[in-house]
Amino acid sequence: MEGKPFALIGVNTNGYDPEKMKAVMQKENLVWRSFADQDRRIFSAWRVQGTPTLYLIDHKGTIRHRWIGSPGAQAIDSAIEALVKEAETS
Amino acid sequence: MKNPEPEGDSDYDTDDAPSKPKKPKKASSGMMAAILVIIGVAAVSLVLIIGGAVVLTIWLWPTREKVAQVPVQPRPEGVFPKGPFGPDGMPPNIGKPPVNPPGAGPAVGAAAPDIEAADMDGKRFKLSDYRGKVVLLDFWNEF
Repeated sequence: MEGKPFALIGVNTNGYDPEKMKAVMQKENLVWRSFADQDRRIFSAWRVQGTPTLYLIDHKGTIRHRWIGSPGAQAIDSAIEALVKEAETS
Repeated sequence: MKNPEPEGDSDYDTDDAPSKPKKPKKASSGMMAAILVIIGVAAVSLVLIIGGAVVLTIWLWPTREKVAQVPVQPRPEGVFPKGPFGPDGMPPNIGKPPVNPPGAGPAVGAAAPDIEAADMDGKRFKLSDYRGKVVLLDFWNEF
């Protein structure tokens, strides 16, 4: 996905501050940029029921997919690919 | 233990039976008095119990209404009480995400609500900074 109009953004739901979240990410080998949802405002606004919860948002900011629990890498990849193609051709 | 008496209530009844008819007239007047006393005691107890219940009901009725009138304060959604929590200042259920009230979050087809918070380097950024790109937003949790 290098050079493609795509980004993987995380939201940590533990309520950690950035420092603690960074330590956990290094320990767990997570490399993508993540929001530290310290006051859990994001968690509440998005009414997250459990993790992992995944949202796929298109280049216009519209939610196109929502997965509560991972649907598997293949389903995610093909959904991303379709939306990236859409972004590139628009 | 040896018991010379034969067992069973029926045997006692038959033993006692012959002694009872010896004084029939005195026994009946005594019995009448006893019955009257029992009826009297029962009547007084009944009046006391019913009276007590009525008095308690009248006494407690206003309290009951007051209790019913206390409005139930709904807990604000997702808002955590502020105050001293653990040694790190985090809510006590740290490590486990709190439970949101049931109900779907932002739906497919809706505009993604914007997010603004700090990243792991403390640098604030927004979800909308990535407009123009497809974004996979992953809510993750350290277990």
